[in-house]
This record gives sequence, C-alpha cells and structure tokens, in this order.
Amino acid sequence: MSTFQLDLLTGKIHTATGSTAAANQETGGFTIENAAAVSQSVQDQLEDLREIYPDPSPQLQRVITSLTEAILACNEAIQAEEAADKFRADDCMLKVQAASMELIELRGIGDGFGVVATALMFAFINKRGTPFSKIEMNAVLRTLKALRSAPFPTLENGAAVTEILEKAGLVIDPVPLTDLLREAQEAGFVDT
Amino acid sequence: MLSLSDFQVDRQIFEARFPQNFLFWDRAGQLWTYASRKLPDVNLVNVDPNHTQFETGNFQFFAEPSVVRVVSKDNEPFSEFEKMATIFFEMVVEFLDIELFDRVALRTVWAKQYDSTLQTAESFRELGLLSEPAGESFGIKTPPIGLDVKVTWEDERMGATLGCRAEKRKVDPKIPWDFRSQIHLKAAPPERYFLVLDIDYFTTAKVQRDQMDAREWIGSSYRFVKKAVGKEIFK
Repeated sequence: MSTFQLDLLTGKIHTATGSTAAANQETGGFTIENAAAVSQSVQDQLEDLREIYPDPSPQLQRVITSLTEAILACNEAIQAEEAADKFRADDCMLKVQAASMELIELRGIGDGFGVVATALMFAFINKRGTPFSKIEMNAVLRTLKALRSAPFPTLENGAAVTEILEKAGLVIDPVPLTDLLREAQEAGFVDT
Repeated sequence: MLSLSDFQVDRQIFEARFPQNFLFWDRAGQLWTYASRKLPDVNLVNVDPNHTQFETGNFQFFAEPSVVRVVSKDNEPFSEFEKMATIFFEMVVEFLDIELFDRVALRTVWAKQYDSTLQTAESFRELGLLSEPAGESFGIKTPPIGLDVKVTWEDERMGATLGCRAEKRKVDPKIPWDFRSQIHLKAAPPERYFLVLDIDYFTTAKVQRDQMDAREWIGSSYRFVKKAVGKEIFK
C-alpha cells in the first residue's frame, strides 16, 4: 500500500510503497545528506503538492510557497556553511527568517502549524543575530520540511515537530517580557 | 451546447475510509452527544453499534468503525456542504483518534431535467462519450434510450470515476409520513427524466492525518473536478 511521502532528493511529494514507506517513517522521511539536491523551482514544487490538493486555496498556496522558499534558502545556507562561506550562509538564513515570519501570518491554517511557525520564529529571535551552526541549520531545514510534507499537524504533533529545533539546541520559548523591556531600555525606547 | 452550469447539484458526498477503529464502539454515545451540540437540529436515525447515522435538513452523517461519510441531498450550496462535512469529519477524526486514511473521496452528482427520455438520450449523445451500434438492435429499430457510461482512471496517488447516464425517476411528492396513509393519491408519482453526471474523485495512496485538512481538500477537489469536467466532458 502506498502513502504520500516527501522526497528530499527532488523535494517532491510522491507515493512510497511497502519497505520504502516503513524506512522513511523510521527516519521521519528525512535524509539530510540529500537535502543539497533540492533545486527545483517554487512553481515546480507547488505542482507536486497538487497531488494531494489539486487546486489549493490561495492561503495554502502561500503556505507552500513560503515553506519552499525557506527550504531552498536553508539548503543554500547549509551549502555555504560547508564551503566555509559564513557571510553567504548568514545571508541565506536571513532569507529563511523572512520566509518563516510569513508563516506566522499564515498560522490560521491550523493549531499545529501555528505551534511550529511560532517555534521557528522564536528560534530566530532567541539567536539574537548570532550565526546558526550547521546542526542548527539542519534542524531548521528538517522542521520546514516536516511542515511542508504535512502542513496540518495536530497540536500534539506540531509540538513534536518543534523538538527537532530544541534537540539542536535552539531556544523556541517566547522571549520573556523582562528581556524585551531590558532591550527596549538599553535601546533608549523606554525610560528607566 | 451543454455546459456544467446547465446542471444542478443533486447530491454531494464526502467520505473518508480508515483502518478499522474500535474506539468507535466506546465513543459512539459521546459522538452523538457532541454532534447534537455542534450540528443544528440534528436527529439520530440509527444507533447500530457498527453504524451511526444522524440527519439534519438535507444532510446525512454516517460514522462506522472504518468510514465517515457526509451526504447532502438536493441543490444544497457547496459552501454549506463543505462546512457541515468539515465539522463532522473533524469531530469523528478527533473522537476516534484517526492517524491514517486509506481513501478520501468527494463524489458530486449533477443532474439536468428533461421532458422526455428521447430528449435526455439526445443530450447524452451530444457529449460524445459513447458510440452506439448503428441500425436495428435486438429487433428494435429506434435508437437506444437507456444510456449509461462509467469510466475510471486511477494511478498510485489519485483516482476518478466518471458516470454519465440518462435516468428516469419517479418524483416523490414530499408528503409527511404521518399523512401518507390518509391521502389517496389520484395518480402514480410523476416521472421525470434526467441526464446525470456522477463524478467520484478519490485518493488511492494513504493520507496521513497531518496532511489532511477536510475543508481545504473538499474545496480543492471540488474546484479541480469542476474544471476537469468542463475540460473533458463539455469540450
């Protein structure tokens, strides 16, 4: 029996059968080694999602476009990091952050989606501008791909996806109000 | 020239099949209580342990250990069908904690009424879906009137079945059951003639719960089917 699976080699959602499906499930369907091979255009990948949603709503189209853009940028960041090109890696991660912020705007598509999008946002905020390590980039990539493969997780499953970020050492908790206040005071926006 | 806008929606069915789920036997009562709160004026039709059925207005809701189904009758607006189907589907999925769907399907039946079987058959022929044997068949000189075509396409991900038939129906006057025994109808129920388009669009690959949003899937499939029908049938 086949299931819809995300293929990291092509970035396509396809059907997996028997042992392939079982193997993919064991690894969560992700093989980071192959992630660099994702090179299709956003439009091509949109076409693939139509295998499940043949005529997606504008909202779902935006979700997939943002996720695909973020995945491609994250992928590029990992390649740059591997090539020791820190500036390009950081630049690409900024693109990932911008695309992730758009996901916040689209969090209405589901509670689980909202949980993951919020975790991603806080992972970036809590980094406070410091560069991502390769492990952290891979975690962001896996999270984005998990969301793109199954954009409607339940609240519990969404929380489980965020563990990928936490395990890589990223902080996904909301920034405490006191920290925000202190930063605002330091920047001179608030009187002490 | 016929087009889909000449037809009226006759029936809409959303169905999801999943592996046998025996939580259904534990939670059927809870499901009914919850349904009666969420669905307006819902009536319980059947409480068989393997088959629960609710009804409200033009909607029928079915839940079984391996299937959830929502049916709307008559020309119910699609938006209303989409809303009701989503409510019931999400309710059942949550109550039965379903993780995987074997098959998700949207079936839409459109019908156009005609004055006679001949007219209906003529319109059917216009669609060019069938080639009939020429001349006399079975000693009958007139062209066939009972036309029925069913075609299924299927790959490893999705499938679609197109049914098209010229149909004769007895229109049942809507008389409440309580009064039926007291009323003697002067004539048999009138017959009506319909050209029926029946499209079943479904997944053949298993779909994970986290990939499935009922409202999005129903809307997406409905838009796709309408476009495909326009392209493939009413060329």
